[in-house]
Amino acid sequence: MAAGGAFGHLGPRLRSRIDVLIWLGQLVSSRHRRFVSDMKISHEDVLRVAQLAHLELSPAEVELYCGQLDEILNYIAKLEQLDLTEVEPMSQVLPRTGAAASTSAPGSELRDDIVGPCDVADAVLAQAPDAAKPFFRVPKVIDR
Amino acid sequence: MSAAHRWTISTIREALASKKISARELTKSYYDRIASKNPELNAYLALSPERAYGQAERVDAAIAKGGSLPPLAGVPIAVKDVLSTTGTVTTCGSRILENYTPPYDATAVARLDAAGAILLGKTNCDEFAMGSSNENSAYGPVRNPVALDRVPGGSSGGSAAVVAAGLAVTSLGTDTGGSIRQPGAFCGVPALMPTYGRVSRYGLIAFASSLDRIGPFTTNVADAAALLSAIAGHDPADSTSASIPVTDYSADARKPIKGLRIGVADEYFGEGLDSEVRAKVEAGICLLESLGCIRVPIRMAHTDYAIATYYIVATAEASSNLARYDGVRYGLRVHGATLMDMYRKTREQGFGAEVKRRIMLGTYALSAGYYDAYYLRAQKVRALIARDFSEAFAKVDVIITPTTPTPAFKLGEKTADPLQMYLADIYTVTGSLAGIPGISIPCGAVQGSLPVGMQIFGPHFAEGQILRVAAGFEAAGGFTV
Repeated sequence: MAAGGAFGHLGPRLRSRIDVLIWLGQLVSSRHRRFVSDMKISHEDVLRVAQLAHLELSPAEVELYCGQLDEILNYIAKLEQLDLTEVEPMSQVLPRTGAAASTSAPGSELRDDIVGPCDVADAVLAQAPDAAKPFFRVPKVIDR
Repeated sequence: MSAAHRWTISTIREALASKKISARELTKSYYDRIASKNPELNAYLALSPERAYGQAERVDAAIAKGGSLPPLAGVPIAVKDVLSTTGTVTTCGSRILENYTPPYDATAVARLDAAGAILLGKTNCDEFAMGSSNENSAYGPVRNPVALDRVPGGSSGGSAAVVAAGLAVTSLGTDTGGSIRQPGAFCGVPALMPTYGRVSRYGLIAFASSLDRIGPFTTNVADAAALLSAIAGHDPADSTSASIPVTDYSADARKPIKGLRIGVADEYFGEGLDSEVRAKVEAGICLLESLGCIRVPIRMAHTDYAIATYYIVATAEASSNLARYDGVRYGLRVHGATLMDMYRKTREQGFGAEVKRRIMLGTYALSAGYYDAYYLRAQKVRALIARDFSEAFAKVDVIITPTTPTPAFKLGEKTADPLQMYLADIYTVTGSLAGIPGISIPCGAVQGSLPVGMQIFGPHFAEGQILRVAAGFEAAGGFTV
């Protein structure tokens, strides 16, 4: 992978995609779907994402997901049609009403931070594929 | 379906109190029916007879002793296999949790238990609730009891099918983008998605945390109200559960509907809607008008963007939530030479195709350089969709739409094309994104016997209002309009 730029760790095809997206984001009007629609997700992109997601895809899966993700991403590109400059993102579902609105949603007041009984270690470790109480055992991480 | 299997919460209560049947006998009759019908439907993944008969005995002992019974005493229920149940395997329809037995009950399950309900078993579903046809289950698809060559809908296909087929009186499902309402529509049973925060998510194995809800499938609206009353309310174990008071949903459902304003938006009746489904839902709206409801045209301008928004938000949250399946603490472990090798092999072998596809999409949307273009943008459009609803609810009491654009489709019809499958949720995802409650109720049938669902949306925490419209519709014969 080539170095350079904020997205230098990504492949060249990915970088060009980002450039177009950034450019699109700067446009007030949104009649440029065809640019997004023309873009494709590459095998390289799929492999990179699989690596991030800790998935060991077979070559057949890479092929399949490449086509399917491309189609889905092209569909999703319809969101580029909207002017969202004045819109606040919604990351909170419950409606904000009443006096508590400024600090919290109804009913979602934070509880006091009090330690309660939690004697579940045995029950939890009983579900582990490989446990040596009080630890979960995994393949060696550090080689000396 | 014989009438003997059409028990409701109130007929069970009567029969138990008058000693016409015992809870044990009732439980046995359901297990007998499951033994004969489930092999064909594949709707149950696991049964919990020990727990069920234990609870039946407690109910029978309470009846023998006299005195008052808890509200769901002796009611045989089924629970979707994404809800944790102590001592009963909870797979999420996935190989990765094939042998996982939770050490605790989900709050919703514990509340049903405390209300005297009898847990018959766990129902099949799309893997990690990701799907619209139940064909993504690692344990095989569920068949629609109404038409065996068709899907029951998804992801709560098993929960819808067991109620439609009389293999449980009621069941719990979960809804992230339509997973309660759409299978309810396909199988012809009422299916309620409560407001986000109305029912605790504690013990619900997460798919998309800002969207996931728990709600009931029933054969009638009164039972839906009773189930919701049992599971609703604040839970200290879920910080997103609301402490807004729970109203008496059964009483709400009995109120008259005359004068209520029903919003109807063209955006839900456009291209892609099956003409027969449209005709049925139109007939349903006319029936409501004949009952004194006032039809108000409304505009829901951002409806067309909902699927795209949903598939970013939901997959982004899923990619994060499903990071926990790594072979270390529970579930499947596939051995590898290194820790990383173990992670990758475990996840590769443990997850099915759709789950991997969504993890990939969500990881992509959240990855460096893409966050603003996808996730942040989707959150903004989500706000616009929510605003469409809040503006509409300033003018109307409820909004009526078709639940799905078509009736149940054939098994295998959409499996090769994920995007077409996603579009089956086009009328349900809007309410999911806005966090509002919605119910799908039967609204006649097309092509002979395929059920149509009519969806009723209400404002946040107005479950009583949508149940009221649903009950009025049901009482006027709307289910067979």
